[in-house]
Amino acid sequence: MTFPWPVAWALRAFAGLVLVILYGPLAVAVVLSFFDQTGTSVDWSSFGLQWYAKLFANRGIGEALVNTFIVGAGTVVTSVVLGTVFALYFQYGGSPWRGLHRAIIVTPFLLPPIVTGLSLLIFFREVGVPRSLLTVVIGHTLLVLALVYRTILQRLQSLSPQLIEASYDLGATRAYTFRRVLLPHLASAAVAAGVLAFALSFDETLITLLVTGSDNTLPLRLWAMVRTGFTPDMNALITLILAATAALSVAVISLVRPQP
Amino acid sequence: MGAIDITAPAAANQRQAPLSMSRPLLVLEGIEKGFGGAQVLHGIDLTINDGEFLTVLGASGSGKTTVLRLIGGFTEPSAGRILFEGADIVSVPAYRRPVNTVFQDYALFPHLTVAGNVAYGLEARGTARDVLRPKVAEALERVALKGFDARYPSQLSGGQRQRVALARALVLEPRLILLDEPLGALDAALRRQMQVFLKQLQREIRTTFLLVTHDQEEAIVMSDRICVLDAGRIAQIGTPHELYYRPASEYIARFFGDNNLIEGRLGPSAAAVRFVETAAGRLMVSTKDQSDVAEAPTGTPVKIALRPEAIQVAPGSEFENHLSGTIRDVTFAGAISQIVIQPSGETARPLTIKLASRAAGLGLSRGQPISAGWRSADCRILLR
Repeated sequence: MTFPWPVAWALRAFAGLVLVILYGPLAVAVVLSFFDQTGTSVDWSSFGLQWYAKLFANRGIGEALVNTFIVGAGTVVTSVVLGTVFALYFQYGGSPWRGLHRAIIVTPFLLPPIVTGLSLLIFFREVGVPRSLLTVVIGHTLLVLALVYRTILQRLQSLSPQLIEASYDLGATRAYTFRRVLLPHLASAAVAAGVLAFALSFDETLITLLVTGSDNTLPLRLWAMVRTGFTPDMNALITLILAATAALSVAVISLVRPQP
Repeated sequence: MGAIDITAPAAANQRQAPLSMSRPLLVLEGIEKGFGGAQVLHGIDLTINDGEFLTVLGASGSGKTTVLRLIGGFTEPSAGRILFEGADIVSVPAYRRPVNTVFQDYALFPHLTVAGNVAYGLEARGTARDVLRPKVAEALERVALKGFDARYPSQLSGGQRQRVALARALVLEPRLILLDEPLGALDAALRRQMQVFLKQLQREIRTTFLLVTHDQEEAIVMSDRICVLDAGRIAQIGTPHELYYRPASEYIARFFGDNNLIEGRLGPSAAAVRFVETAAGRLMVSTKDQSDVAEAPTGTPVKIALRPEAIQVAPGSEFENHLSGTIRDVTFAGAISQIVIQPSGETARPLTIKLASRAAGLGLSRGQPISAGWRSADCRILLR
């Protein structure tokens, strides 16, 4: 189907306009992160990485970045291991409760993060768990496990039972089959799920805010900076988070895409 | 391979010794199998002899794949025994059975190369790398896939994948290779080529093959013996020749090629023949090897199976059965022509005749009167 040219042009113009209005502000922050600013006027001759330098000169940011990576790594390992184990439980555990188990794992992703965060906060306080990066990892795992679990389960369910039988037929034991057939089959799904988990953990703010102790992550640092007033190095931080998220998304998409 | 191959391992030499075709390798004894209420196999007794090419033939739902899965160890019988060289292997897990399977969809490991797939079974057994390499190379050469080691299954054609699956089983030197509709996914020309290849391979390596298929032509071409399954029961076991010329039942007669089935009632017996009263008159049928037919009471309703190619036009006196009628139809089909005749008896059913087209071309046309005949030895009485 082809549109008459005025309709086609109107569609293009509309699409372009929406793009500019909705996503333009992000571009503004990215552009401004490379220039000096006085008030609202931009000094276009000042192109450089000075705000990035200033950002990293600020010790809080470096520490927040390290914390973000610690939490991300912890979340990836925990969610991928749990996701794999739970997917195996669902597929081969033979439990009548597996459907309920799956529903419970998926729920936190659909709940408002503030509900999840607050519930965790109340629980940690009642039980007397000191809030730290560990509690942040628990909160993030709760959130991302739903996606990690589903990704791995889906891959597991795409494994032809004939491949398992072929392995037995060729003389492989169950353990050998698990190692040589099942795990390789899950590997790329697990990597994709891990990257996804990291991307989600990287910019998660609300749950982190509620369950962290005195440790800051990057989004929390940004949040704190906003509250004390705008400084141009925030543009640099926004740009960094944006770039990291975009890179991770591309990685996920290329990993999840089915192999030819 | 030369007549004397000094490099071959001792086991291989031993396997090249003449095989007695009657030595049973695997015996199914009274096998019953049900899946949640549905009985799939009823009292299957089947002996697979060492070195033979046996085909289990049946329509879909006949239970033929279940037979193969029972032998492979992927499912257990509800009752009965599976004896491998006399020892019951029902409780032996699939990975310790001396049989290997070529799966219907090949079931190649997609994350392993061709060489990786073929080496898999040896690696699972802990075979040393320097022993394994030449074996894998030899197996790939045997299936004409030399130089394909590093490819992945997704980079191969259907026929090539099929041969990888075969090499993967061959390399383990099993006593029995199970083939589950191995040619089903190939196109007609490739299928015929593979039929010849498989048959030659089986002769060369002298390993017992058990093929499962629904294709009767494939079964006839490849098998030493065929076991026909019908709804979970063995309908007949025999050589392709026996099944074709001496069907035990109407089901078999219909299953293998074309047959005229003439309804009638048993009449009197004579020496090694029995007369049958039909709408086309009294016919004489040989009862050789059929004591049940010779002894059945007169008047029993039966069918006569008569091959279209066994009927002669304008027969001489050596043909015991004669009938006359008119030609209803003539169809030219290349080398042969098919003629349908209407016998003159009022309720007689039409008969189909197949003639070499050269003979049929001698002025046979629709509506023309014709006489036809056949020998008593070329037809057969079917009690069921």
